[in-house]
Amino acid sequence: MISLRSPMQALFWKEWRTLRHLRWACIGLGALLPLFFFAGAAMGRSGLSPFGRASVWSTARILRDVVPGSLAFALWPFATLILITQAFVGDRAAGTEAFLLERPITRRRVWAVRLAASTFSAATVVAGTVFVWMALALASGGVAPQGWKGPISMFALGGMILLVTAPCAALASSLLASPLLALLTSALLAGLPAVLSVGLAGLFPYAGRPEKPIGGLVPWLLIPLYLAVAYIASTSGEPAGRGRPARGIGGLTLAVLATLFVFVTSAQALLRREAVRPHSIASLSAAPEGDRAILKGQWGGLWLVDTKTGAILEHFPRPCNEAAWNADGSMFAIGTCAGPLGSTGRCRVSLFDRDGKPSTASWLASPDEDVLRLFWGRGSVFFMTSGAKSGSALVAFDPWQSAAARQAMNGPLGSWDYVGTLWDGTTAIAKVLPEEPLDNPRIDPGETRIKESRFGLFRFDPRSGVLDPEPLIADHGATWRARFFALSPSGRWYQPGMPKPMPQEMVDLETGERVPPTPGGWPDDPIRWYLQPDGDATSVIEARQGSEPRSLRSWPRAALYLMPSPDRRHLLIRLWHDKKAARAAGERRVEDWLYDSISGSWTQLPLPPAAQEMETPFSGVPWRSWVGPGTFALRGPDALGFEDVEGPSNPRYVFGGP
Amino acid sequence: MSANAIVFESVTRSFGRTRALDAVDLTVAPGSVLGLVGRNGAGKTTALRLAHGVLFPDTGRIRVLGLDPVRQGSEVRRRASLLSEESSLYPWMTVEEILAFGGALHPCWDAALARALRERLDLDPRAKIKTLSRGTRAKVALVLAVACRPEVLLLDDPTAGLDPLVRGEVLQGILEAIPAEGGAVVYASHLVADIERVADRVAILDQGRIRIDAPLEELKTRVRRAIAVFEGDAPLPAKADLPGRIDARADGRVLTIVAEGADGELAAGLRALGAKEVAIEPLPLEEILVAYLREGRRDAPGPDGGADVVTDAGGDAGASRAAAPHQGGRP
Repeated sequence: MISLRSPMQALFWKEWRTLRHLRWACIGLGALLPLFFFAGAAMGRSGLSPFGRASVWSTARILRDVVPGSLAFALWPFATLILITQAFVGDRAAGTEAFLLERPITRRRVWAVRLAASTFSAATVVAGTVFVWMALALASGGVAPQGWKGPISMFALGGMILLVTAPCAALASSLLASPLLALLTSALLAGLPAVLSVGLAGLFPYAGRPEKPIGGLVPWLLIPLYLAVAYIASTSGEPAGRGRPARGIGGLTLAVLATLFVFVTSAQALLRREAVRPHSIASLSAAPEGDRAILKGQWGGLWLVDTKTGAILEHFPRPCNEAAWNADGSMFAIGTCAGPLGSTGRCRVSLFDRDGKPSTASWLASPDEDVLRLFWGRGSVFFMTSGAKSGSALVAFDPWQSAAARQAMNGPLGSWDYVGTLWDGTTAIAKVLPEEPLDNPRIDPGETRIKESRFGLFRFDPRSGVLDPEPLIADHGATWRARFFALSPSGRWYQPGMPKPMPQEMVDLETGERVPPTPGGWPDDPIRWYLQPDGDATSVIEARQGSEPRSLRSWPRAALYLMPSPDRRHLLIRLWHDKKAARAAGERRVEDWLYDSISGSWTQLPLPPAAQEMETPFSGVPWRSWVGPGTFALRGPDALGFEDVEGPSNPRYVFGGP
Repeated sequence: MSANAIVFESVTRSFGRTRALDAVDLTVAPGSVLGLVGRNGAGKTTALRLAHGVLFPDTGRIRVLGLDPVRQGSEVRRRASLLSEESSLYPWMTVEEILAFGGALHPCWDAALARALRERLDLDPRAKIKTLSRGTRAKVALVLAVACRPEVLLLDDPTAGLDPLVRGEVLQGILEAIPAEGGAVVYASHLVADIERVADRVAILDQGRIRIDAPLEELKTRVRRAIAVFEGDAPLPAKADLPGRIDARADGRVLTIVAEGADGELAAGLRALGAKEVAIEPLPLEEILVAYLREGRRDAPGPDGGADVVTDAGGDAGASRAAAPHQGGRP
């Protein structure tokens, strides 16, 4: 005698009973799967060609990898789709839908019970098949040596897939009367967020956190929306079903539009947040006077900052990595490929005034071209471009004339580089010498592993775009080294990088004269500072033009790092005391000292109040560096501030800090 | 609170391009049994499902026991039962299970009445629905419909396809289930004999419209058949323009006319047409209905004057089906 006490109990009983055959069939299929694979492997070992690849499967491997994967990624999603589809479409297909429609029971209850019963049925299939698998695995001696971790991970992933497939099946079967059509539509619906996810993440890769585009996440909101649409389509309107497909399709359209709306609004919100809150900073590019600086994010993006207030004046969203100031700091250029809403657009070089307002003309790359590096040389903006069709090229863009001269470089990136402006106003390019094979494996397009290619320093005329055929000087090593270390700021002196271990001479490019290297700077620097060991102490030596070098100060058992100011008036010294000695003396291990070459005074710079918050794993205190002749930048992993040389105790934080 | 158990006011419902009900006005008084007659596809099922809130009208207003089936569908279905022509019973359940299941879903379920009906209709509780004959399934459906003691019983051709013995049993069950006070029954069927047995009022539904709505006895009294014999060929039916005429057929010298009205007026009219002999007789309900339906077909548009579409509102929207044009003869 059956006893059904409440409508919900009765409905659940009916749905559970309706699904019992399918449940058992799915569990039975799961129980037979290992046997299928065992048989396949055995037939493969017997030489039956269709199963040849299975011949290498051992029992342990079948139970450890093959069966859990087949259950989690094939049987369970399939069973879930079938069970949910049957629960929602079964009555309609069998012609028994009218029974419930003619009872005084709300469709909301029926819908909820069907979803619950089919979900529980799917869970039963999962539990049943896992139980059978575990029994087989234990009976065959476990899944050692790799253990249970792999299968459990697969089962967990399979569970996640079920969470996606269940709402898809609920929506499809709420709309369609044919179980098979509903089954296929479920698969299409499951593919929709995946397609949208890939599409939005691909089209808007920079909307969201670095390397986590929000376009890859937002479309999965469709999954809960599927459930909502299925519920509304099934429980509203005429019980007999008129308008249900239209409601469902309308709801689905709204759900997709809502998802796109959420994507657009959240992408905008994230971009706005990123504009005012830079993520970790890779480098700073300061204007010559130091009143402005451009922060370059570790993942791209630029922020123009007023160093006197710490305010962010402008944000140039990703993908945008290149920036360069002109000589007087009144303008800067950026190389950007940013499109709307975090998308990638045509790469271009744009110019702005010191407050971030667009200024004069800009240069637009061809559709396949990237702008890779940007420099503001004498009169022109220089940048490197690379394109699949156009190859790599050096472009000199005169913003006042809106004229661009282009020099195609017959070689991969890394085989050449911009170096700087020479003493006579011409531009120097480092380029691998013609006799050096371009397919040299040491020339890596990523340029990070170039070690010993032979290259020359060539003149380049920015107006004609012509590269001199003969080099000024030949050198060894990576071309980028020439830019960073080899050419003096005046453009007159060149310091060859080879032979090892250290440069033995400097070359006057104007006369060709070779002189011994000058420590701490270039022969034409008015003042140079360098370190000199003195027993267990280290001395700071000052060398002025026309004077004998002299020792300024010594520190025992300490490591020193010298940072001259851009105008070479001040010297910033970071000092690391020996750990044990510092502890014994009760001193701080790290100190910053400032030396004024005009007054000859020494000042110990205070550590910022937020030193603890800004503490870095490497030094224990934030890194202090020059931003212009009278300004310091204080950088920690989660903070950035600026302070004046004249009043270093009041940092102005761009982000982080107290 | 409406005084009538069921009220239809200008109710229209279409399935796609097919209009199943066209501005139907209908009332069913408490305590009455309305026989809703019409050919297949006339709109009977649609009307009942609209009253039960399973379908929604396109236009018009429906009230059942004063409730709006569109907005108060669950309450309507709690107080009104629909016994459908289409058996929607779950084939895998046993009789006992389906009665328990149906009972659990209904707050007014009378388990004792269900058990009594089941025993009297000789239903085996352990038999599965799929093993039952059509007649036995009809009995199970009857128990499900009446054991919740509905105030309104909507019967949609409950005896269709049953043999006379079972039909009798089912009809008897229906008669016993009719609420003693205040309730109402709508019995939709094209089996006129069954209607005649249970109804006290008849409405003829044809091509979505109510052709006639009258008390059964009044209808039987009002409509007469006159057989007139002429000396020569009888005049063509189209020319036999008599007051209250419903249908006319000429066969040689004999003209047969079905008409409403007083016997004397009918006889005088036929004699005025030249009839030598006139005989007037009462008609069985079935023939009255046939006459009305023939009249309706004659009025309908189409090359042969026949109804060209019939609709059976079975379930989902779009469940209508087209039928062949009328070929003449009885419907």
